[in-house]
Amino acid sequence: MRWEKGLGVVLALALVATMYGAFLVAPTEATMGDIQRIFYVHMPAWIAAFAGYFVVFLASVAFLATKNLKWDRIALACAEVGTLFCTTGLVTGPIWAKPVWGVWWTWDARLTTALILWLMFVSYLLLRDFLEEPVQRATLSAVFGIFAFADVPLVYMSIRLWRTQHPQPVLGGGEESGLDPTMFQVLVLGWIAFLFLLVMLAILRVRLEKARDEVGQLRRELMMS
Amino acid sequence: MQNLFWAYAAVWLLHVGYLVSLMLRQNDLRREISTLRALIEQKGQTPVGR
Repeated sequence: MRWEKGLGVVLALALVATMYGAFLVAPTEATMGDIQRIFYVHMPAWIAAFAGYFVVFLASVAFLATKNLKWDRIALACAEVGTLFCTTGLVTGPIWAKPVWGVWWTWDARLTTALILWLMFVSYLLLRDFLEEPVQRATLSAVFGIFAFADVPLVYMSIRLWRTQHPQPVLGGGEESGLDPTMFQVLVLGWIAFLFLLVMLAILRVRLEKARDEVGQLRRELMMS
Repeated sequence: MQNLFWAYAAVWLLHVGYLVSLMLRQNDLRREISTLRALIEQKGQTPVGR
């Protein structure tokens, strides 16, 4: 479809612009040096993960209200793609942490709640494989998805509620927070790129799920004939 | 700098890997749909979706 090609082009441009901005435009951070450039993929990955999981929450509520399986397909797609971005955040974080903190991992509130979030959505994806009947699977998944989403605001607020190893917020974190204007522009580019990537991958994943449903339907038809 | 390289490499590998996995799964399903439709047509029925 034409709009999908358009989306693909915008996505490609946004990704290229983000890479260019991260390496060639954004100034070098005074304390951490070049390693800080991980920020331009680390934070956008988490924003995309949260956005994906928010759609899981909305689609799960919509399924429970309407019992329309299309909402279950959307929830599954966004759970899987959201978990991809969550994994990205959990991989880039320790790679950044090791040279800065001296350790790959610490059990502070931010990192722990983020890992719990990842574990819950991996469980969501695995749980679905144990349930054959579509409506039952969708119902249980919807309930679990709503419950799992409750961790997202906790992850987000953890650095505001508790003292953590993870840095305090650079945006909206109070008087002492703030970001260099050029860094902020590159960060926004990263947000745009990753959110477009989330949308693109979710669309492809929904399409895959529709094809799986069609296979199931055709198999049942073949068995009955 | 090595850590910076590995972080961006991980991001690209994860996302490109996932995209390739989606495409491969989609191709497998398309083949299976074609096969199933052909089998149903052989049995003299009109398959769902046609």
